[in-house]
Amino acid sequence: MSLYPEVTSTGSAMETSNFAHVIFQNVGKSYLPHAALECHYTLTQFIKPHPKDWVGIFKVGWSTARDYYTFLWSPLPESYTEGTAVNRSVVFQGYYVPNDDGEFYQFCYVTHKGEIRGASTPFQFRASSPS
Amino acid sequence: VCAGDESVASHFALVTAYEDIKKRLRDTERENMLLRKRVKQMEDKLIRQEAP
Repeated sequence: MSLYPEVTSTGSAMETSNFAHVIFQNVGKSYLPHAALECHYTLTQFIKPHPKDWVGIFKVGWSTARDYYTFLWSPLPESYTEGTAVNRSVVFQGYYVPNDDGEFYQFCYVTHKGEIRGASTPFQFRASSPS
Repeated sequence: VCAGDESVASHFALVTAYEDIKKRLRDTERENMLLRKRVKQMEDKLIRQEAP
């Protein structure tokens, strides 16, 4: 994930921030509405997962962690060694994902304390995708 | 978690989305231009064929 110098007011805070401790992998530009959505992500060595951590689908422009559209608990790795990176995934069932509504959404990883530790690139829900 | 952290996180997530959508806009505009050119070429070809 890149950081953008144009937003320098908080730029230095971002570079040293915790917001890229969870990296979302292969996020599509769009997904089918009402279809199961697989979300793959990597917990980097900088985060210690907790059973009450969760992954939410948020409408772009959200302001608090309570603004999620839907969420799933992030499953704990079976055997976890602190300080190692692990790949995880969750599957959002079709009836929980947004409709084809023209909005952009993104995944965010939220800890049990309500801290955002990762945000994905945006995607839409579209009945048919052009590319 | 203090409110400041959350607002920085929210800002960060918005910037992430904004930069990506801006790049997609550039790509889409480029494709739009190419399609326009292609349609023009095909129209020209059709007109030439129809002319005696």
